[in-house]
Amino acid sequence: MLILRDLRRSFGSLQAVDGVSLHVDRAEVVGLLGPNGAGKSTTVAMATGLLRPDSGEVEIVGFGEPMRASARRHVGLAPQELALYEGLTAIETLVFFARLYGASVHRDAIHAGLEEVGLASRGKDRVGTYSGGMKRRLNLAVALIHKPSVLVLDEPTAGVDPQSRAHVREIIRQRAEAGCAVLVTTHDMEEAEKICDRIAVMDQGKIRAHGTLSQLLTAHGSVQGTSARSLEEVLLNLTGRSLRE
Amino acid sequence: MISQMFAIALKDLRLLSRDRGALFFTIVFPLIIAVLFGMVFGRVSTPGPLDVVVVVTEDGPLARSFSAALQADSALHVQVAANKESAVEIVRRGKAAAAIILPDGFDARAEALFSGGSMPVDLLGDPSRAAELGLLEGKLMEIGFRQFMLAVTDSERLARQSTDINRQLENDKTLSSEERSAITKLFSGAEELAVARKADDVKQGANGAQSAKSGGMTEFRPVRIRSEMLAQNKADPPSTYAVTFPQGVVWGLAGCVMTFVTTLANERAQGTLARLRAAPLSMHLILASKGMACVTSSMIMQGLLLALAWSVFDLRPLNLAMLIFAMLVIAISFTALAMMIAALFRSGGGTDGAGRALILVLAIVGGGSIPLVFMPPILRSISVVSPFRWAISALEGPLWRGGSLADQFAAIGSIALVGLACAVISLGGMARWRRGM
Repeated sequence: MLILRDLRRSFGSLQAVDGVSLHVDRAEVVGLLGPNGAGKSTTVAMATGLLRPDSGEVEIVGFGEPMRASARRHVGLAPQELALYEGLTAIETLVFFARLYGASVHRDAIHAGLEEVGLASRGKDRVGTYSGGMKRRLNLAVALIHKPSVLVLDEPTAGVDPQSRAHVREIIRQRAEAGCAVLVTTHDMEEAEKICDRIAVMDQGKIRAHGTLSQLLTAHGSVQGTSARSLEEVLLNLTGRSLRE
Repeated sequence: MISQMFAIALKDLRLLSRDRGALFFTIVFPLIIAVLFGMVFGRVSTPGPLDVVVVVTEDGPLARSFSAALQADSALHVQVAANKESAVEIVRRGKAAAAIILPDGFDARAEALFSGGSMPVDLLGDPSRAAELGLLEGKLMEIGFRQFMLAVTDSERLARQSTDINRQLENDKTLSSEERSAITKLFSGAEELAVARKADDVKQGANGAQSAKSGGMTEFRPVRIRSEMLAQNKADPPSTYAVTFPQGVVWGLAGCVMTFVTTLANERAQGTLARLRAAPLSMHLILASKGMACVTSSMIMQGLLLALAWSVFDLRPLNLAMLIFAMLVIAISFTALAMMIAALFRSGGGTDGAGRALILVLAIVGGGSIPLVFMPPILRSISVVSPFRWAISALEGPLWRGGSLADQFAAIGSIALVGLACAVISLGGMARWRRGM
């Protein structure tokens, strides 16, 4: 379980995160939605121990705060960038990250990791030869290889084809059902609707609304002049329609 | 923790081995520089007479004869020095493979060849030319045999020796009269033989020494050689490769540093560094692991280049242990330099671009393009700011220049100090990184 308590972080005069509190239970997927610059990635960085909050705290329940290496062992991160080594094969990539986390590097464990993301047949190929979708799936496999209790995914399906997107969403749900606490950021409303148990809408460093899909739709999702409701309207109603830099 | 460090270091080395560009600039380019410059500036060495220097410390006919025999030998190129000190200096500077000292008392000992004496020769050799010194000892023994045969066929000398022996026999109270008589007859026979041989030689116009070559006196050693290796202090390198291979190492080090800086810049730009930091590792451990990869690649590069210099271009180090120590200190110091460059710039692109420019300038100024010995004085003065210059000095000592251990440690200490300064600056830069986290 992941708990964020009143997190604040600024960069110079910019208050990127301003009092964010959120929790993600076991076997739950919580979506973090918001426009660009809302503070989602900064929140993710603090949740995974990459960034120290100015104030507030993060707790991986049972393991402490993620600034400690021992707690980070239980967190899996799939960053927004395809943070992979193009000169390594997929097998070498998983073996490398498994070693860093002290996980099994047995052939079966690595094969199972590749199988899960549908890359078993291309395991010996270098990552540089992969398509964007395959890299995205491998990016997820790296986050999963050490079987973390908390999974933090920063836009895990950005820029991939529908097949890969569906596959990634399926994996996220399976991991949650297996007991993992999953925090996922996304711009994809359909994705949030399909995989998230709860959704938090964030803007200008603050959580603007928070609840299940139906709660958000009821409270903030009305489309002006109609009875239709959508998550996109929730987002636009809460964060405004002006373009962001 | 150790397995994590090895995992990161191995990953970096694996990526380096698959990066043809990095591999070219780390191994191939330095090799081309070393070999090409060596061939262009040097003369191809061909086997020729062995350079030696001879000193006769006490003048005498036998010492003069021995010295003349050395000078007449076509396998040797002999310089004659006035005293032992001059001869030693010539060897230390690499101008000769060895000094051959015919010490005080040479004639007296040579006169006593038939009563257990032998010709004393002190051989002070250049340790980097051990194989040639072995050949030289063989040559000295051969000349000794020739000198011995000359003694055997020299009736005047034999008569002198016979008189000496007879005197010794008369004084020796342990011998019976029969034994004394038998030994006297033996030497009388030898004297007659010498007279007969001399007559034959006169008839045939042949030199008695030539017949000595076919002699079978394998157990008898007319020359007693006392060998000693000299510490080197060479002003001139033994070959141009002795200059160009350390120069090649400079470019290899530049390649290693640039590769390290680039990989760190790429890791920051591509997000893999964030991924490493999200793993249960401290930033110090990540950097130490990457440093381990840089040290390893630097050691491999230096080892390959210098092993090639040894095996192909006969550039044998004077002090192998010291050379390996110097290589290790250089590898660690240049890793600290790479860390410093990586820590000083915040952006990946800045690190890569500025780092390459800085390394290139330092390598050129430090002797990477023009060897230090050929640099104009002003450039040589500027070169003190370059760690590459200190790396070359640290390598040249144990490789060919020699000098005292203190001198060699001083050169290695200089590059270690440069590394320490870089490490301190990089720690400051890293602290700035950490404040940004």
